[in-house]
Amino acid sequence: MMPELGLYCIILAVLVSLLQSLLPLRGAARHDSGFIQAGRRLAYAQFGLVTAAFLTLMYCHVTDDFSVMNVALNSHTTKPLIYKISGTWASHEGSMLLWVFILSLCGALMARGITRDVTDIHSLIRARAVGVQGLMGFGFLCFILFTSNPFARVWPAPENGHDMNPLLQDPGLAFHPPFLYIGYVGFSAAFALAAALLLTREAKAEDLRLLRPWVLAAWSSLTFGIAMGSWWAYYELGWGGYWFWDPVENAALMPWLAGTALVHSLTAAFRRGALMRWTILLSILCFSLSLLGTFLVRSGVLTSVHSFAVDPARGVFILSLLALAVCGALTLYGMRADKLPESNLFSPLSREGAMLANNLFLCTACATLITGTLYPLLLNVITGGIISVGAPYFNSTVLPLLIPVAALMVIGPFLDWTEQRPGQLLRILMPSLTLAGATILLTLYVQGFHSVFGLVGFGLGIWLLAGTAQDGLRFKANLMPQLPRLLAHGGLALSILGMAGSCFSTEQNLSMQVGDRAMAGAYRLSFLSTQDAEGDNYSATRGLFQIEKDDQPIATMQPEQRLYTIQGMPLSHVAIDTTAMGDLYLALGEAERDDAGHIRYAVRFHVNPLTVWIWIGGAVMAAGGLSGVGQHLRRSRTK
Amino acid sequence: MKPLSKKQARLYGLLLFLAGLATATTLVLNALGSNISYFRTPTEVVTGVIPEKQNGRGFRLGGLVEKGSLSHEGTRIRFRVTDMKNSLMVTYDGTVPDLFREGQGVVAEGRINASGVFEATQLLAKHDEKYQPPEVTKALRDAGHPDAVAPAESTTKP
Repeated sequence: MMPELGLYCIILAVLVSLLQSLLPLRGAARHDSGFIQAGRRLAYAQFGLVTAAFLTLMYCHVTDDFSVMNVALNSHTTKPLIYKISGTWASHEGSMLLWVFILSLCGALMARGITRDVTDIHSLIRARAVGVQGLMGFGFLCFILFTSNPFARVWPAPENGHDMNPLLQDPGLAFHPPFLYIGYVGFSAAFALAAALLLTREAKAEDLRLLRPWVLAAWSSLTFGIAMGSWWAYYELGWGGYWFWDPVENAALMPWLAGTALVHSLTAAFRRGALMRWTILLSILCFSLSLLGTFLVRSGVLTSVHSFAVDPARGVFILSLLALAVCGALTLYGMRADKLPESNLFSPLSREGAMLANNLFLCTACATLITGTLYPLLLNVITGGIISVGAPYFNSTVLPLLIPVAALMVIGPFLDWTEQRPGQLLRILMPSLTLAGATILLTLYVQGFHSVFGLVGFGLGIWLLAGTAQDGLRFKANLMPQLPRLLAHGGLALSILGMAGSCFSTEQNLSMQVGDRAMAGAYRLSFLSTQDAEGDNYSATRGLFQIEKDDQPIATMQPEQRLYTIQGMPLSHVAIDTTAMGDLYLALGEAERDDAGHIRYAVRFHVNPLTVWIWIGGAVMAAGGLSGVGQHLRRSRTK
Repeated sequence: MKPLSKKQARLYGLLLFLAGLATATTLVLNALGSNISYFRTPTEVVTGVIPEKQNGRGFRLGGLVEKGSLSHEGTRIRFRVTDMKNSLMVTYDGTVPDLFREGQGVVAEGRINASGVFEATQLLAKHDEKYQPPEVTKALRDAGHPDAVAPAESTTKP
């Protein structure tokens, strides 16, 4: 009964979204309040229906209704409750429902800003945006209904489910998809507003301000989601790395780079009336990249834990949606872009100039990232050869392009709008530059010439941190309005330092038996004992290790080798000892009996300097974006 | 510096854009040329002439871990990768992925040494009991084992 109710809600939502895509657009064109108000209520209705469907699926997961295929394939009675809840979006069907849920939430929030006054231009723009979002909702709801019904039944209902992939049974990952999706889908609001601005003849540069809370919220959430995913990869996959340039990671990084560019060009656009057309175009591209990411991850053209099933129909459907959205929006842009008001001019050495340069570099980095990610797919289609583009490609193309971006982040905030004298600038930058140079020399002295990225990273990170501190000190009394920028820039500085630190990480592979002691670099590992441990749906061998440095015990670590009993899947659960200066990271491999009959374990020990700052930095950046959203909301409320 | 006129802005913009494009294209082509690795099956390596044998470049080798071929020496392991037709000796130093087993699919990254042994720098096993790396499926299918075709999925990381 409940699953059918959920399906019924989706069918109703399809119809509602179709109306939502027609009425408000017509209402805005004719300044007809009735149609506009209908659009507002339809957006609420769509949100209500999709929420009901989403909650129904969650209910099916929590109550172990294995007659629902989606639950049977992804759940099990012994699975802990938190993963039953997160299981709602851990499958292909569920994650698409989450996608549409967030889309309809954006639509409803957008609709809240619609007033009864038909001469209120912001209200008209929002009404049109609600229409565009209705259209997108229609496309994706049809996708769910026709290719990925989460409520499909299975008959006869199985006794119990297949359980979820143990790699996904992790608190970090349980809430990674919602954040990532709020990021992806949040850009749909910017897309819809950009289309609405193109449709509104009376639009002025200041109206671009409407995009700001959406872009900032989406960017913050995406930042947080990516950081969370990378943290998960770090401790759950147990390889000691935090970023692998995997196609699916790249799929999230593409809209992030474009979104970062958008945050900056948007500021130049609504504050100074510069770069307007570019900002509109970038809003369209940014959401297109989110759609491309969804396509890459959900269509099964990429092989990974995220691509749940290979069903060509789904890939073709999402690709069609992508093509329609991109072609439609670009056509609209082509037809209407010249109707936008003239952009103001600026000197190359000015705040706008720095933002433009930052946009150029970010977009070029994004393009090289797309090239590397799509090249294997293209080559496979053309020649049938299977290749992979490795991490060295991305390290040698994307990273060098991001170095000038970091430099511009230091310089930009000190530049005046419209024009700036060069002499003054050098004097301002001198202290932070000196500090950065000293850092590089110090690193060279301590570590030797070991890693170019590490050296450059430390230099840039310190320069950016010092520059941001100097930037903030200028605003002693009135710090709050600058907070979003200071936090975002400072957060990235911390992340860069963390990444630079992990360039100096070390790894040691050992073969040990209980009672063994081994040296790994400056550390001494003592393998004290093993014991059996039981979890809800796994059993484990837990090793007890003591780590000593300079004959002082500094940590006891308990890595586990788990066996998830339902799927019969072994999984190594690493132990991590985190301090501000770095992580000790210990993985216990499988047991082997050697020739003498002793049980030996493969043990891997990493020392990862400063790694934790990567994620602290990510969280600080996200907080910066959110504080921007908060300020925007407060300002519009007091108005 | 004064704000540029519209014409100047366009000219500088265009030049800047072209310069950026040229730099990026050079970087990309250069990096793609030296950083892509092909996927090879044991049969291709054993019977065919693949350029990686001569130039010592890295590639990815995929197939099943041959039953009974796995041996340990400390942290170093040796095993044979097979597509049920031909097989190749592989050595690897380090901890193996959780789902690395005899008889299961594996993709090894590395290069072939002078004595014809594949020295792996990284092993990728599947993520999930249900699935087979698509490259492995392809390798088995190429070697004439249509029944070995499992639902394709999941090699590396998310």
